[in-house]
Amino acid sequence: MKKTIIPITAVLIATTVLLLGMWSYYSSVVTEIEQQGSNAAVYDRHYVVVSEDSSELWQSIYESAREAAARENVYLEWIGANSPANYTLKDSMKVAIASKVDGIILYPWGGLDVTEQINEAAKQGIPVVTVLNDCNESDRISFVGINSYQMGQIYGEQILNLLEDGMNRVLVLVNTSMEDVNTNLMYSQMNAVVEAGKPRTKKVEISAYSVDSTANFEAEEVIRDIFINSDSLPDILICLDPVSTECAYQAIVDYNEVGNVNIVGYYTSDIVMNAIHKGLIPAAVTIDTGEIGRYSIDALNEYLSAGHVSNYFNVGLSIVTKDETK
Amino acid sequence: MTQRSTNSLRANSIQKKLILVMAAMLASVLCVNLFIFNQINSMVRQIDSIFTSNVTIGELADTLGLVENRVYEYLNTKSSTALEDYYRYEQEYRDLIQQLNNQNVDSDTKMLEKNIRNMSETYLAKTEETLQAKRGRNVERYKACFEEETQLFEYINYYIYELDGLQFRLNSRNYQMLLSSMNILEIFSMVIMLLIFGFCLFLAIMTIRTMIGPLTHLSAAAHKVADGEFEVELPEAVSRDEVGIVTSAFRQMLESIKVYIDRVKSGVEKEAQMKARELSMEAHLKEAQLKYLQAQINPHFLFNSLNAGAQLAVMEDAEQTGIFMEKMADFFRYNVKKMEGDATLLEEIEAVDNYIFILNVRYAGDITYEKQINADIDNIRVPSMILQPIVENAVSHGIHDNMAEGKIQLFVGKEEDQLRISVMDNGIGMSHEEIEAVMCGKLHQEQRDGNSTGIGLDNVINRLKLYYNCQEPLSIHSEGKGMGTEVTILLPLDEGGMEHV
Repeated sequence: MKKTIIPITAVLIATTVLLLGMWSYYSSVVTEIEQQGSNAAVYDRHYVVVSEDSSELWQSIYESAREAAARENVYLEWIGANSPANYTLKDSMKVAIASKVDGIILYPWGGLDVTEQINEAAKQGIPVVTVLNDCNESDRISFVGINSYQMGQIYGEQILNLLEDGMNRVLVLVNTSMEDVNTNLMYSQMNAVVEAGKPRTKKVEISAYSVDSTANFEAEEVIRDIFINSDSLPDILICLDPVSTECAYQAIVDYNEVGNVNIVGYYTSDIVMNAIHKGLIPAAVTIDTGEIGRYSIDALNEYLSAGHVSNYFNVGLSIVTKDETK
Repeated sequence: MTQRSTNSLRANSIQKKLILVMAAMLASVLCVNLFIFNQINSMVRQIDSIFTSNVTIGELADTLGLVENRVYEYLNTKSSTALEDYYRYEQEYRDLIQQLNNQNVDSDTKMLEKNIRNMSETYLAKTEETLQAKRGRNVERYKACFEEETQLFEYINYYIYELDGLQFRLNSRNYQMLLSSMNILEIFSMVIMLLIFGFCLFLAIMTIRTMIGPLTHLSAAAHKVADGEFEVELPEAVSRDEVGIVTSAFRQMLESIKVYIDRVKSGVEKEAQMKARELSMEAHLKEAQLKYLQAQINPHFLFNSLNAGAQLAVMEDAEQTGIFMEKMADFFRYNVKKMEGDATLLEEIEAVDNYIFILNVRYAGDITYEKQINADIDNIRVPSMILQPIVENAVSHGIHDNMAEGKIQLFVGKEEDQLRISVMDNGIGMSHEEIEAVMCGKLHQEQRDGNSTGIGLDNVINRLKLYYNCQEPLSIHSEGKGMGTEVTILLPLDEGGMEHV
């Protein structure tokens, strides 16, 4: 009798365990599917980033702003980042306003006037913070960016470091999207620093070259043109945006001008950092993207909480040379 | 009793066992199947429902298109039907967007939903404004508004498209997850089905073995019994089902057969013994008869002649002679008549009396004969011709040489449940060896003298043994030479005083 009962009981127990296992496995799968997103964090506010620039710089700013936002219980979205639609800044602003977001972090560039949209947002009660490029005639609540004077000072100092005896031709690649008061301020301050600081034995000729880095592939083509015409090659190439920095770096490598053309870059992307480390680029001016993201979120939060906020947040600038990459 | 046994039979019947086992097997298979079926069904429903969100998003886009279309149509034609449709679709669209998320959740799809919802509200407000402007015939305003709401319509469409794509990717992932889990569940189901198959097979084998095993043993035992081997080992009837009952009935039947065979055997043996006794009795009787016939060639002629002599004596007034002749005739008639069966004790005693009378006539009244009867002997039957040979023996061997002083005593008396018959003489007596020889039948009486009827003591002893079926019906006692001899017969009496026949 025992001989019969033991295997029967064992089989029944095994079957029950398997059935329970089957049931619990299935339940866990279904629960996982049903609860997708339901456990996601809920935020108090919804801010959006409006930027056409999707360079590494902006990715970095967005990431740091997102981290800062998460800490402040804010959901941050980059409008149009993953959309197949090719939104312009104006479109993105309109979408943001229509979506009734709680705040907008705007990077105005490409010369497109978004003042109307900023004002419309302000009218709808949506605060707008401009980043890196200001739109000071609009109703934006604050500007988070660099001090152009300080930037001109740093670039000027770097030019002085790179001067050699005789004539030094300095070419500044000016981004057409940034051709505003701030760029002029930066340019003049750079000139002033170079003029004041250059030794008598060294002559400097500074000229500017417009590059539209907002237009697709424009920067690369323009910079190639400069290198193809080897007579007009500068001794020092000043880049004021990340795209032209990377293009210039690639050009000196391709045209074997390393050492002949010294680049002072802007923003230390991985490629630029690597180049500095190898000594191919002497130095690059960089900005604290974490600070930009943090200040943007803080500005919006402060405005929504207190109703007012400082209209300018200065972001620190620093210079990266080979010594810093070690 | 019958009712109870029927009930217990029903309670443990093979039929019930089979039904129970089959029911258990079917129930387990059914339960497992139902469970698996339910799981699969639920999974299929789940798979079906996976893409419903895409369907909902599709509906959203369609309804939005209808709203936009009706706005355009109204602006174009100011048709009241278009306006009516617009309001219907607008309500439908509002209902649809109410189902969308409106919270700030850390999920791309949820935030897209929120944006679509908010943009749609803005869009609907703008369409309303457009319609109002149209009604107010404010051409510039409604054109501007229409442009704005068309732009919003496009944004929303983009967002819906984006949401649809995101949702589709998510749903596809879920679909893949469900499909792979379905594969795992299929393996689970296979294993479970195999287990259940094994379980049912095992249960069926065990049930059949439990039922057929005792039957096989029983049939083997039946074969042995059929071959005449009754000492077979039968399996213990563990179950109380039909097989158990048949087994125990077979066991009982076997025991009954054994008892019956034993009884028949002992019956046959007894019958054989009886037959032997009867044959032996007959042989002794024949022997006695033969010896008597050897002695008396024609007793009928003799006692008829004696009767004729008696009558003659009476006619001649010779009374004594007449009595003697009559006694002689009685004695011989008794001899002739009773040789074949038994007789009453009274008849036996009478024969002894006649014999003594004859001897006394012959020997001129020398033998003293005393008779003492202390019991009611009317109905006691004994084998015939037993007392006369004993008395004859006492005369022949005991007092033959001294007839004048010879004394024969006959005593009949009851002792407890026995009847004691003693024949005593005061003759020469017997030694122990002689007594022993007589009792063992070694000493045969071969003498043929004129006093003998021809029946020996050994014949009497044998007949008594056969008649009463006992070892020592007769005992001889003598104090020694010259001290006389006492021959005692102890006859068993039954309760009513009747002698056992």
